[in-house]
Amino acid sequence: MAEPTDAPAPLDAGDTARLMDFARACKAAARAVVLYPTGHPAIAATLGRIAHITAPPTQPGPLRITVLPDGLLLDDRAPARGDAALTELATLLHSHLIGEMVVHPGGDVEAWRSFLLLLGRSGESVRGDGGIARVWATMATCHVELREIDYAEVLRERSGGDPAVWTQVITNCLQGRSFDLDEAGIRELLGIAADSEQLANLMTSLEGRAESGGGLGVKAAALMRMLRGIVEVVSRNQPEQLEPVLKNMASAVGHCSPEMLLGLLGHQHDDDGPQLMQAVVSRMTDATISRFVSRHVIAGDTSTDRLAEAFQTLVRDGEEQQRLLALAKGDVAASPLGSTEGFESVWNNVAEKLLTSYSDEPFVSEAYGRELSGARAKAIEVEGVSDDPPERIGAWLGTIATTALRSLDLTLMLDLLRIEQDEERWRELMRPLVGLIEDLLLVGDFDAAADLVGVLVGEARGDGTTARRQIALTAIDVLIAGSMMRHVTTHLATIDEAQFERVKAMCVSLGEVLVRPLAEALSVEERPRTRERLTSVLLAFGSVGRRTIERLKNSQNPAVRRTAIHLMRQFGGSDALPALTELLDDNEPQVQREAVRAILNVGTDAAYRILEQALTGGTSQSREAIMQSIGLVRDDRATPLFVYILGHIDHRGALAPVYLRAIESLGALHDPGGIAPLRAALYKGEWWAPRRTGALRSAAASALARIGTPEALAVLDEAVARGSRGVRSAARAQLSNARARRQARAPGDGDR
Amino acid sequence: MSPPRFQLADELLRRFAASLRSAQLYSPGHPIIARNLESLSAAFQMLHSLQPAVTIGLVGDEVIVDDMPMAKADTLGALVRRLQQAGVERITVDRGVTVDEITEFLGAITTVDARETDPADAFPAIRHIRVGRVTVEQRVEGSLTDMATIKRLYSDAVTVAGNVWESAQTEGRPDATAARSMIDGLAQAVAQNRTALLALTTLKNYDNYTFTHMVNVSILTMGQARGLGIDGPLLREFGLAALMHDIGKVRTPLDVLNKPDKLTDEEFAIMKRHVVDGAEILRMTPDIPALAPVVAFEHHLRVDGSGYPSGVTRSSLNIGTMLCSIADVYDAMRSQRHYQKAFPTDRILAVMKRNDGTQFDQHLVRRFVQLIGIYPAGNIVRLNTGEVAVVMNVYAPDPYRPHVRVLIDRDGKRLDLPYELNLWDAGEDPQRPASVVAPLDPADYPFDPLLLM
Repeated sequence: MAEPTDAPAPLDAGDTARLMDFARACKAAARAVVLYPTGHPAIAATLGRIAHITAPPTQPGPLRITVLPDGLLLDDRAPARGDAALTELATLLHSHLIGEMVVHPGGDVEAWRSFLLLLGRSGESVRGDGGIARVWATMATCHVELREIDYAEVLRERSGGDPAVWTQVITNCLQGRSFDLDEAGIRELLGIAADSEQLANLMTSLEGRAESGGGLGVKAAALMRMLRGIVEVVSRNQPEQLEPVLKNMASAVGHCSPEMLLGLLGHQHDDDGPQLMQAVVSRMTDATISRFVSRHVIAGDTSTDRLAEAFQTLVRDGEEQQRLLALAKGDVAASPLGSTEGFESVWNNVAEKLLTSYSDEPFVSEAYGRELSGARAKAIEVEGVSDDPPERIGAWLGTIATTALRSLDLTLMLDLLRIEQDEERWRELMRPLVGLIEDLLLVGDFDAAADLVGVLVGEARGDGTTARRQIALTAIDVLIAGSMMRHVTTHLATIDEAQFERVKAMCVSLGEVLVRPLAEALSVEERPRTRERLTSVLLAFGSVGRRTIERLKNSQNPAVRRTAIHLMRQFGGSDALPALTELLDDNEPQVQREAVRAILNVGTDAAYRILEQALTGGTSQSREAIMQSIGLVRDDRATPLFVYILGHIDHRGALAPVYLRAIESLGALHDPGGIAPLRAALYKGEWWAPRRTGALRSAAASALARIGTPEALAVLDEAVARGSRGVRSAARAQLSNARARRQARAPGDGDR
Repeated sequence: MSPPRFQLADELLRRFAASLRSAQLYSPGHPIIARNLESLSAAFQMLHSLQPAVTIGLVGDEVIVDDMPMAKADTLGALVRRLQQAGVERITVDRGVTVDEITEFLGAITTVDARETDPADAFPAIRHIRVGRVTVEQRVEGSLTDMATIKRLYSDAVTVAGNVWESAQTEGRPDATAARSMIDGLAQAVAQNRTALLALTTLKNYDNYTFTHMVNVSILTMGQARGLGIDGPLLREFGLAALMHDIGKVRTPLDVLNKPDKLTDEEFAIMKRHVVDGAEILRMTPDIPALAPVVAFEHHLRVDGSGYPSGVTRSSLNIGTMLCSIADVYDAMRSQRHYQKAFPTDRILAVMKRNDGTQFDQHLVRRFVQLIGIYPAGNIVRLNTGEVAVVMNVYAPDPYRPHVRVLIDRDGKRLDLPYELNLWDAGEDPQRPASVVAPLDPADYPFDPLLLM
């Protein structure tokens, strides 16, 4: 990447040993401060060692160490020999993005401890605090200076290279478009136009890039577009700079080839072309013209005839021509060509041609010219002969188009797997096979991947020999341990349903070895759609998938914990109750709610006991959360739980609100199954607690009225007729309400 | 560095890798490419919501996104390799980049090769994507118009072919780097001076048949491919595939491989195994293009369904295999080995044409004849008026009337000043040579025809 430069000589033996000593001591101390508890003798010993070797008597001056990914340089010089400590320390420092460190003599044990503890932290966490240089600077110790690698700086586009604006200008000119530059681009262009050298470079780049097949006319037109574009930009943005820019153009045009210069001068396609070139040529100085001549004579890169033609077009006057040629001769004489034997004779030849009017008419007859053209046409005809229509050639080339090639590769691999009988050779095929499957999964070609996986699975099932079975099983392990799940999850959110079904089938075919990585992928997955599909794949594994729940329910991600609950619900049964019980204490309300719903879903006495225990044994906060969760359940399946609560929880004391919420919930569910326990609740109460009792009876009567069935109303009727005063009062109030509601209902509602 | 930004950058790299790989593996317009591009575009948008531009770079062996080192280059394998091959060290993508722009960029990056002649032309100017790249120049030293340079190139290629063979024999894998480097030079020569290089394949090397055959088949395949307009990296893939077509023979027992007599059925069965071995070897060799193992596997299959490996059928053959098969048969029949007399060129071509439409695609054979000529460049031939000449160039429409340089006059006298003739321009003068009547054995003449071209 960087320009190759001559490497400085390696360190001498003494400096190499010094650097190694430092690296070994530093590495050992870094390990000790991280591994051992404070006060461990190893820490004191290793820190003492590094402090000693960097103390002024041992290290008289600063050590400037450059950190490479796999090595260290001292004062930009590599050690004379390698050592593991150098590599290890370099790796450690590089992981913290340290590009250079200067170690000043005199760092004490504490200062080194601070530094090495900092190195002991993970690179990511230090970068999270602003990077090691910043953190170190705040630690107020200065025996080590750090310079962090600034990757942004490394990647910054270099102004001296080939700026984007050049590319854009050149492309636009070549494609015949007008300039389309943003503000920064215009600024850049104005900068180029103000510098004759840069302008010349830009023109040379354009000339070089113009399509060779396009001929001189195309190049000249492109260059003319560039000149005109620059003039337009300058006139619009900095009109006062137009004159200097034209002068720069005149100087830059002097760097063109004679052919290009002639092309520009003869350019007739634009109305303002001749005018512009006239303006440019009139500003060409004597020095520019003479250097134009001398440069091409020295380089010998063009025919003298063309140079003569260009020279005579630029300078019409004979005396002027002689004067400028004298200047050019001076330049050429000063070059290496000038010191060659016979220079005078060579120059006289050139000068003679340059001063002679160019025309081929006297030398080439019209007929001979036609013959030459005919010969060229025949040569082209021979080269280009083809009786094949484009469709046929297109069809041939289509057989190796990238998709076709992919298909050929797949077919080849399937053929090799089928044909190869030698077990050892078959084993060798596993590496490219796994690589190919990974490739296909990376790009999301699941159909092709499934074909190959199918072969492996077939062998693993025992379609072939025992040895092959073992090889296939190993290959499956390798595949799964690699990047398979990573690639699959990348695409899960975007593939359609049919494709997903194929992915699922492929995953399931690989067997339960995939369950663990699947769960791992699921436990860190953030995207809902991907999570949902990973869950679906996991469920497709049946009961084997249940083993993953433990991992998922401990995920940091609440969404994944909810996925774990979802899986438990899907798998069903009461085996999940212990795990669900744990999740009742989750600090995420949504997770708690899902856990409650899952436990309700189990619906056994054991399940309800768990909820009861959670309600009775938990804090008021968790109780509230659970009750809220239960209260949100609008499902007959919750009735037995509320019945259970009314039957097992004391309506007095701390759980009184739970009791009341259970009554309300039974009313809300309209489930006749709640009538009997509500009736019991209606008659509960104590004379010494009239307000609590009143609230209880009122809630029970209200719930019965909400259920509103004849059986429920009968209970209220009975209470009005036979209950105690408090019971009567509560029932009467609700009964009249219930009757009013019933009357308001349509006749079609019947008895309800 | 905030974790979300890091994760977004990580996701971006993953999608970039997937998109690039899919663009390499599937033809434009394939739905898999479109899906990956949409994903990549979405990843850019997410990062662009945090910053105006995203820069992806390779610094040493690190892959960097902006200022974040993301991964070691070797963990991103194919992506990094491709970027390195394309000479890309930095990509800056500005906010506002469109899917079309990303598509164009990926298209360029999958085809660009840092060894191409003009790096400035390699990447199109894309408004929201800028590329910083280094250029690796690898040019043949000397002028490819000079026959001596071409001969040196050919001779070096044969030596490298020997090394490639040896590495496959001893290490189980051919030296792909050496092979690639050699093919680069040959491909350049095929593109610039095809006639001279094809002429070299007429040389008869009695000692190094295996290696000259490798090189000849490679040149002849690239020559045909070039005629179909194939150029650049794909041309080199053809060359490499053809070079390696018989590499499976490194596993063939020497007594079978070198047997001077006709092979028994059992021995032939062993010999036939080389197509499977070759495909396996190449499929397991890193940095070998996908076409190479396919060609190695299929080069004895014929379009009429005959050939081997047995039990393998193809409804049609790909152009790489077909061109290599033609080159392989031609060169094998042309070469003189211990057990087989060399056929005169016209005889070989007659045999190949006899199989038109059954074993080889007749149109490709016709093209091959047009390319090589009945009397290929470099051949010594006798003209209808008795002169001896060396064929300089082939006139495709009439392979019997090439462009020649006359070396010996009709009286058998060596000319001090050889002269050139376009036989297709002969006209009606019966005294003037008008066609070739027979190929001659260069061994009978005391000069190297190639140096007279």
